[in-house]
Amino acid sequence: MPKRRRAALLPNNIALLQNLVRRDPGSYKEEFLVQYRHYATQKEILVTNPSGFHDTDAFLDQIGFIAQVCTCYPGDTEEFPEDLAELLRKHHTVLPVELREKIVQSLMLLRNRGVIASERLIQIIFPLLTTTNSKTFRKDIYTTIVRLLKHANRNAKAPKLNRSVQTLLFTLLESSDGAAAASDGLWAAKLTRELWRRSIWDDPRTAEIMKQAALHGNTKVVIAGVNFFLGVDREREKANRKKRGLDDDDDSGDDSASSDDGEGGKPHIAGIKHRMGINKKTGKRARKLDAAMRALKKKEKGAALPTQLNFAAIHLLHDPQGFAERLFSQTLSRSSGNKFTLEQRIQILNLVSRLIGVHKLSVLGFYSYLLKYLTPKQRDVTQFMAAAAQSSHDLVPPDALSPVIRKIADEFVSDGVAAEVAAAGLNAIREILTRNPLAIEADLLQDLTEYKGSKSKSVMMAARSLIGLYRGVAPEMLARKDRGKIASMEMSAAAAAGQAKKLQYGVENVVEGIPGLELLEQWRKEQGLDNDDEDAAAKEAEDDDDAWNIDLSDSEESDNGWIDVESDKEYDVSDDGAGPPKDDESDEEDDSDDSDKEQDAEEQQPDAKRAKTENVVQNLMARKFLAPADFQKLEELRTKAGLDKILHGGQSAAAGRHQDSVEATSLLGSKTGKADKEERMAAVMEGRQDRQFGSKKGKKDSQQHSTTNKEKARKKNFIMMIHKRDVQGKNKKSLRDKQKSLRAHIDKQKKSKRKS
Amino acid sequence: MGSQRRKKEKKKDFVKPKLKVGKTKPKPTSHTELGFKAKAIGLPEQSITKAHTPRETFNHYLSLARHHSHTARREALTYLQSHLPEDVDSSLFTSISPLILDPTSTVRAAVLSLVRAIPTTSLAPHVHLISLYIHAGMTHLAPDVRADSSKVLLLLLKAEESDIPMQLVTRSWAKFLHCFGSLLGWDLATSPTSSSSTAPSAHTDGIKWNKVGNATSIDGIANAAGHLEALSLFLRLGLSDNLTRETQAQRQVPVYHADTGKHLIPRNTTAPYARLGLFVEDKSGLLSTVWSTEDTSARYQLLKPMLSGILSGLDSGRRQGGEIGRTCKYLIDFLDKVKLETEKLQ
Repeated sequence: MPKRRRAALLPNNIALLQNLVRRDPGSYKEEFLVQYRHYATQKEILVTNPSGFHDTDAFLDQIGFIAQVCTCYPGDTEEFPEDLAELLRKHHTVLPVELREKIVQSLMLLRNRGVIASERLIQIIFPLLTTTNSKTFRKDIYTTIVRLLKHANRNAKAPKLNRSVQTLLFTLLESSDGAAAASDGLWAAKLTRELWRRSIWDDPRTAEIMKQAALHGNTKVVIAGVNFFLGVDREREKANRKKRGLDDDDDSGDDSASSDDGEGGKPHIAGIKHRMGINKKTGKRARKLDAAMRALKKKEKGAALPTQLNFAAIHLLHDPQGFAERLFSQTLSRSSGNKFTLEQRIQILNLVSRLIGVHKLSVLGFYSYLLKYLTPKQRDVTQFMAAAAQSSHDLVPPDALSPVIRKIADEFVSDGVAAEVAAAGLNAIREILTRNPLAIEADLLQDLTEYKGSKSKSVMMAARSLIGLYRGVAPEMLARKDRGKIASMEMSAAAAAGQAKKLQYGVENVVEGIPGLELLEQWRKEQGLDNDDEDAAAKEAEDDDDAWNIDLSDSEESDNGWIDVESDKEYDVSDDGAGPPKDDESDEEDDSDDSDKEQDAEEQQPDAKRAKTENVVQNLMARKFLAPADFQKLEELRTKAGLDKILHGGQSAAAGRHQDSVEATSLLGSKTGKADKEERMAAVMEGRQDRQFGSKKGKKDSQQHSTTNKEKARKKNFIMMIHKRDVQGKNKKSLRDKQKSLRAHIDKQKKSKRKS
Repeated sequence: MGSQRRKKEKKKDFVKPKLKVGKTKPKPTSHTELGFKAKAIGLPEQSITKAHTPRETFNHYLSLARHHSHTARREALTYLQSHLPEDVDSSLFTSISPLILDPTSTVRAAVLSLVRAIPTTSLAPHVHLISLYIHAGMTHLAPDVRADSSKVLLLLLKAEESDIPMQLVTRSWAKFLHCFGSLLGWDLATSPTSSSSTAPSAHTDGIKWNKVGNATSIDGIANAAGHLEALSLFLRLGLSDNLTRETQAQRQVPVYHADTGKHLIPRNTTAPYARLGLFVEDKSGLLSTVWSTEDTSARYQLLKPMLSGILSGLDSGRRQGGEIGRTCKYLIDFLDKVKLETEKLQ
């Protein structure tokens, strides 16, 4: 017994000592201090000749040991983190690889234990990111930093840490000359992008960092910054969706991963159920199934949740005007020289045009810059046209845009060019005019609309879409025959009223109320839904039930805004009986008004009519909550009445559209003619993507599974089976049954032969 | 004869490959790819007849000092000892001094004898490096490495006609004292806070003595005796050299004033301005002290807080009797004398 105890007392390896120290720090302080002194000596030996240091393993153990237990002796190990930091800082180029890794690991451990602050750790390892020339070490540090920030921001944002790191990155990007600046900048941009992609950072400061990157002196850094603004939000969306669908890979260690989890993190419900059917039924297994079901439900619920509100980086910029101007003048204008390749210039162009479109900026030089590139021979001209479309919005002076339109019209839309070219030109013009309808003169427009009779389908479609656009926006600019019935009628009505609507630069179209609401009112009246008797009210209440619960899956536009509301609450919300007592009177007035309107709708003075419709609208809006079903009906009625252009072709739509990005490929219009082989193959492959081919049996065999009962029966020894009823019964079968089974056997044989 | 399938397979073997215009001839199935890709091709000298110079052989054995087999290491050391060149350069010390910490005792013994064989003049510039490894050995986790560590120190302290002992004493006084403390299991906790945080009463000196010095066994007694001998020599050198050194300085500059030696730049030190904080690189180590350990009084100041720990340790050692007891007794007397003298001076 005493011997054994002495063995426990005398730690002769470091793991044992660590264990003992952990259990009883006070008693083993002496031993720890000896080890600490040993470490200090080893460190001194290392420092005297870092490249000739060979006793790495022992030193690694020492460092690991001290890092693990130094929380037990905070006073004695005060200098330890700084020692490690200095080792890294001074000797990271010559230290053995594993020692370097160990030091970073230990520093991370110290941070986790709270010995050093996260800021300090970042300060220690961040400079190494750009100075080291080892790829693996760099990757190591990079992942360490990302993981650190992720953990810090997991439960709540860590503004202090974020700000300090952001400042670090910002200063890295600010120094834009020198050999190191390029790699510094690239790493800063890469780190920022990654953190944004993971939704760890989503504040304006991050956008500012990348703005700085886009204005950097180095080409690669500029492109990294530009790509960030163009593509990172889509990436983030994808990452978020993935995260919601599957478990986050990094966190899978934290979650209690049960063995029933399938590949996608989803439990195998079918498998568990199957096992429940075969194995003994126990409470534990039943509980397991329950838990699996619950997990699945929760996951599905999570997947259905609307995404958290994320602003795109481009929206978070402070001073977008200054940014766009500087980016344009620094990278695109002639003075900057041709530092960038065409592809890079297109990317930058894309960003500048998006900035102009989203923030409605005025960078007038941009449009004249585009002119040079708008010729059919230009490589990637669709990209330039897309940029032109993106950069136009209703606040661009028409004088600035009209040269672009005219240039496109001259170069692309003429009889001498190929149909695709003309279609692309017309589509580009349409996209620009959607955003700024004033940028074209009437005669040029009418020239262009002449192409509606083109033999090429794509050109014809493009010209028609242009006509459709102007029918809604400014029919008076179209030729008379192109205006269409409804637009002409409205025009004549407006002319009769003496207030011909004319497009004006800088005048915003303000929408008041819900367009077409009077139609709904009228329809309700016709259906007898607005009657005052009790039965009708009750009926309506029932109807309302259905109205709130319409199946949204088939209406694409309104599929995600609505959340189920419980039926108890609906009664409270849409109860008409609880309205003010004046309801009856107002309804009577409505009745009389509407009957009047029906009698002499056309003859009445427009002013009075407008006043009345306003009245109607307000009445309906005041009296009733509009359920989704009501909006659906409204949509239907509006289409019927031909008022839909207000929503789809009008200026209000254009105002909303200026934020959309324009896909360059969409400008080419619909493809006509036969697809070539490549396209056909692509389509075929796309169709095959999620399907599996091959026999069911082969699939089953390839999967690992235990022997099925069928297989067992087949392999069973015949002697064991010979006295069973299944076998003996065959002899006792009636002649008819025998014949039947024989027939079936023959048929089966034939079938299988035919197959092979 | 054979199945249809086999016939077919056989036929397949003898089908002549069709040659096509503009296509390379298909390779036979037995073809072996002989090309390779490499960034560099090393062509080591392959002649075994080439005679190596003694220097090359020496270097070869130097590299063998890091061999994974302990016999190879030991043999390398014996070879080095028997073929020591006139001018020993630093490469020898960088490769042999880590072997002070070697896990095999025979290798450590070989190192010891090698160090003994090296002339003191060539040893002197590398004392610092060796002393670092001695520190590491004294704080080593393995007991036998710890036990052997003081032997090298003793050897260096006994080096005559050189400044090696003084170097050891002046440059790492405090560190050696701490190391001895841990080696002999004495509680030399300097600051009152740390001493209170440990449990001194639970760890009586006797137990400590047994634990680290392992004095109960005969082997342990020998170890402790060796450590004590080294310690006594070290303390004597450190605390009683004032006479010898100052007289030396006076003897060297007899022309000037008697105290001239005190105002000269101290000899035998690598960092003469250390006390001013000049030209000193490492200030973060454990031995970073406010004052330097160049003179005796400063060394005594450093020793003072540890003195009670040392004395109590020595006291319990004296009670064991034997050779250890004698050394302890001697040391206690010596320390008392030094204490008295210094206090008298002040």
